[in-house]
Parts: sequence; structure tokens; C-alpha cells
Amino acid sequence: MAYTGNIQSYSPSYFDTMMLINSLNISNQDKEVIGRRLVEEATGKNLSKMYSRLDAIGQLKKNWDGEGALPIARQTVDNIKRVLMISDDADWDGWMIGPETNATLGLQSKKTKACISVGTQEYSYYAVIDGLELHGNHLTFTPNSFLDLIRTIG
Amino acid sequence: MNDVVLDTENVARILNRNWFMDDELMHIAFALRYNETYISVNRTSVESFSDDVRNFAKDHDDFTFGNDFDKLRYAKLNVGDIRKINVSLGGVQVSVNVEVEPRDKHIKSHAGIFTRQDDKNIKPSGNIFVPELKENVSTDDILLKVRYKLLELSEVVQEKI
Repeated sequence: MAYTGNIQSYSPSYFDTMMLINSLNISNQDKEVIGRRLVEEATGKNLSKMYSRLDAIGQLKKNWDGEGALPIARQTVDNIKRVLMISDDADWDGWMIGPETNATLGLQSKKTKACISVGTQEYSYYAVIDGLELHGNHLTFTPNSFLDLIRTIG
Repeated sequence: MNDVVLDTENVARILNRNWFMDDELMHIAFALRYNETYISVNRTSVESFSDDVRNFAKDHDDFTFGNDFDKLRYAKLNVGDIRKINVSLGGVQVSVNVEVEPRDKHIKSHAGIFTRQDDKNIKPSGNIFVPELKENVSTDDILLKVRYKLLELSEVVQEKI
């Protein structure tokens, strides 16, 4: 299926995606980087799971819990996707993600039980690692700082 | 109905499917909504407990589990253990308590888990000023630590509706 300019209805095959990348006005080296990255995201077990989970959570409607819960802010979902785009698959091993009632997302590590709450602009976390309490409060979200956190407390 | 919740009692937090991933419960199950002052739970020793939780699950699709959605889950916690939770963060000390919280008249087992600084309920999206440090402590950060502690105490129970 050729791309017609309407991204909402476009569901490209792997071949279509590679053709699209090939048509971009960038160096062959950059095309290869993008192509490899896409393959990792499509086949990396943890990354694939996170993308699927985010897509499902992103579709929750207002009152998704029957008690007035808000849908998750699109910016918040996009924030985590931006982190996934710069992550290795192993970074997300053992991480869980779920919706909070106030339009934010909650993350939790299965290994360390570390808790994170992330919104459109900020995030907070609490963890106990080797008996030491670690916490950060209302930190400004950037993909790199968030990825560092995932790697540190997960 | 006894209005005093004893340390020896257990309470149950009815669970939503979205609070699980890979069948593991997450801390988000104990998040307060905006302006909420307590986490809703049900007292397992009150006679109406089974009916109360079953009726709630029947009325709320996302609180059912199993291939036929014929089961409910709750996190069981001991009241005495909840009351032992001691959280301090940035100079703010809070306590956690379980009290009867009348909701609808027919839900006799309803209670609430309250987080308080002295006698003041802590709600999300607020700040507590610490005079000694001349700093504000976010209530969200305190409540995140409380969630962590409540999850640690939880035992997930699944029953047929």
C-alpha cells in the first residue's frame, strides 16, 4: 500500500516501510540506522511489549474504571515512546506500565519494585535498592534522564 | 456495624484489570484520585463484605477477571500492618490509618485508608511547607511512597463472583 499522505489510515508492511525510508532525502548510512532501529523495535521482546501496552493504555476512554478516571494524556504516552526510541531492549526487561486515574502513567520494576509516576512534563520515583532509599520529586521529563532512571532503579 | 476498625482485621482493595501487567499487581492500584482523601477498601470481617465486593465487580466490567470475566480480585492487607506504615520524606512525617468511611448506605463494609500529617488528610497535587527547611514537599511524592508500602503488604486474592 503506497503512502497517500493520510497517516491515520496508513498501515505499511515491512517492505513498504523500508521503501519509504529509502525514499527519504538522507544519507544511506542514516537510512541504515533507521532501518536497523525499526527492526530492533519490531523484534525486541521488551520494546514490542511496551509499545503494545502503551497503545492499549492510550485508547482508554474517560471513566475507564467506572469511577471517573481520566484518559491518559497523549503527551504522556508520547513521552514514554520517545524513551523507547532511544532504549535498548534489555533496558525494559522486567518493567511494567499501567494507567493512573489522573491521566498519568505508573511504571514499576518487577525486579526491584521501584515505582515511577510520569506525567506530561514531570516524573517522580521511589525505590529501595540494596536497603538505600532513592527518590526524586517532580523532575523535568527528558527522554535521556528518564532512560537513565530506568537503567538505575530497574 | 462496628465503627472501630481493629488492628486484627483485614481490608480488601478491589482490583481493576488495568492495574495488572503480566498478571502482576502494580502500585497504581493504590493511587488516589485528584481531590480524594482516602483509598477505598472493604472490611473482610463485615457480614456484607462478599456481597459488597461481588456487586461492585458485577457493576464495573474492568474489575472482572478470567476468560469468562466471572472472577474478581482484591488485594488483602492487614489493618495493623497498614497502621505501622511510617513515611517521612523531606522533613514531613505522615501516618496511615484505616477508618470506616460511610459511602452508599448499602455498602456496609466500606472503609478508607487515610494518609495524614498530624490530623490533616493528604491529597494529591498539593504541597506541604516545611518551615525548618523553608521548602515544600509534594504530597504526590509522599503518596507514591505510601503506595509502595501498601503494595508490599498486599496479598492478591481471586474469587468467583
